[in-house]
Amino acid sequence: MNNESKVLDSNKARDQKFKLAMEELEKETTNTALVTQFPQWDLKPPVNLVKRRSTKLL
Amino acid sequence: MSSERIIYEADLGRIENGLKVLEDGVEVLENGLDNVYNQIDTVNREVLDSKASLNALIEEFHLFVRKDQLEKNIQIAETRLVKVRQELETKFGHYGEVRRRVTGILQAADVGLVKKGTIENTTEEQMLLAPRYWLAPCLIALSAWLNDNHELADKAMMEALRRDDEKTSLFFALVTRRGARYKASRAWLERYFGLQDPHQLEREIVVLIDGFTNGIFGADSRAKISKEIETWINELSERVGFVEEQHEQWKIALKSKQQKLNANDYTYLRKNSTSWPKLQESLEGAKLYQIIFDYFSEIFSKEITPNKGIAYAVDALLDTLVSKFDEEELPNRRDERLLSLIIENDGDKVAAQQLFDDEKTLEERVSFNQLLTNFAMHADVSNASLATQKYSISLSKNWIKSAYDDLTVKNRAIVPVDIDLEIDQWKGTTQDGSNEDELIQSLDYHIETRRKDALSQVKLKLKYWIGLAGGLMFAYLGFSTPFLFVFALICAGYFYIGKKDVAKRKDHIRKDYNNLLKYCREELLASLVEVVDWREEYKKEDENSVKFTEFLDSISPEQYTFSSHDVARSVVN
Repeated sequence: MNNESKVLDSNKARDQKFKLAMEELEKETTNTALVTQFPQWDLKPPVNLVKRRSTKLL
Repeated sequence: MSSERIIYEADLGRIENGLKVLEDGVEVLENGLDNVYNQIDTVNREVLDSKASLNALIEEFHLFVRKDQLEKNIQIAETRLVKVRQELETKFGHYGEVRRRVTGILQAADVGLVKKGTIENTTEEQMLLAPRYWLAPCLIALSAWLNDNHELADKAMMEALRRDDEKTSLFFALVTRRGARYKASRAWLERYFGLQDPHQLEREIVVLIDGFTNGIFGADSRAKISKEIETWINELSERVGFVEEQHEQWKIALKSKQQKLNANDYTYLRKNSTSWPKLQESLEGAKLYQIIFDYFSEIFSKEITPNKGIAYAVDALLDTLVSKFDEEELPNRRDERLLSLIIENDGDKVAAQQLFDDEKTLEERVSFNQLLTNFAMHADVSNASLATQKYSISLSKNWIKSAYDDLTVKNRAIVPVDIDLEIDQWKGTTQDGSNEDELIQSLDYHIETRRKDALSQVKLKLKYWIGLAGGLMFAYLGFSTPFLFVFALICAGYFYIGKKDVAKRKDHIRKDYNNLLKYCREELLASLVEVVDWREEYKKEDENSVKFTEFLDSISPEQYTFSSHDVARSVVN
């Protein structure tokens, strides 16, 4: 196994570890009571994006 | 018998009397003057007393006026405050009610205490009472969602977006995150970021950036929001002068890590080289390469662990958003705050205004590029997490590289080719210390010339030559008057003493110059050793410059900017 593959594997493992930790954190920091009260469907914003607050030419 | 003869005996009695009268008159006049002086002193004292009293009175008057003014300020502020609060109550009284309801509903929903029907009823009346406030339809949309009323929720949401798109988007991004609806949360957050002006961001955005880089809004949002932020960068880059500004900003930020050389290093060069300022600056600049490399590589060597604190900070943002005053209320709220500060500061308008202005500076907006630099270089001050730091560096990679390259080029340009040396009036130049023999010869020659000059200045003084001449003269005359030989001997002795003194002074000078030559040679040799050391150290430090460039090249922006999930691209960390 060459060095590059080792690095990639190590990064993969790290990424996996971070994802697991993130999922754990999601569970810990979300409100279970609120989660159960929401219906199945999601309240999502309309697709069309609106204008910015100000122009980019400052 | 006296030879004196009295011609006429004058009668001076009258003159004496006249003088006596005059004397009395002068005395009376003196007494009178004393009285006048006393009176003047008295008047003077009285004037001073009056002046002191007047000053005290003026001070008291000023104090009175100030006190009166402060009291009036308080009275006016109190009266105005009542008016402003009445106006706030009339115009925005219901806003406060809406805020309290939203907070209540969120808390109640959090613990599952309130019946859904109750929530629905309470919210509809709020909508009617606050016809312009964005939070009122948000409240309806939220409660309709909780009550599974899709149509009403959508309608209310649209109305809320119409009233304030930005705040509504943030509100739902935060509520949906709290309720673990990450897909919806991502969509709302994406919308919120899309609405931002990267030139003017609110300071609260720091929490959100920290939130998404740490995956608080879910893994998908990291990639999506990252795309949005890339559009900010593109937008910022379009502005004329932006790239140059970034370049300068990063140069300053990188330079801020530079450290001073140890005061005990290169003591001879500090003392004996006029090129030292340039040598110091360039070596400090070269040492910066390693410092920068260490700083950045340390950041990237650390592992990111999702932080609960960031999740709580994001959650707290929802409370802030809900309890914050609406922009429509702000003019009145600001008046209210200033008037309250005047009352709190006992009517001192200046102090109150100062406090008010200080509070206002916290509300100032910042540009995204400024935030990126702060996150990357001053994470402790900007409260950025490790993930945000890595993210900012990855985004700024090209700017950092260009600023770093510029610093390197400029630093190399100031390295002096010739190092000038100056030791006790002697001047010489070396490049690498290899011309040591030549410099020693030059130094020897210089000291020898000075010694010759100094010796040539030491001459027998004229008085000794006169002594010699006198001795010769007395010796010549001694043949006719023998005792003059004694004088001739004295003069000869005097001349001899002079000659002896000259010889002694010359010996002293030779000795001094020998010591000086020894000292200067030692200084020169020590300085040349330091020149060699300096060149070696500089070369070693300069070779480090490439480490940071290679490190930056190895950073894959996709890895830290989350714009790709392809971990195969990851090279570093």
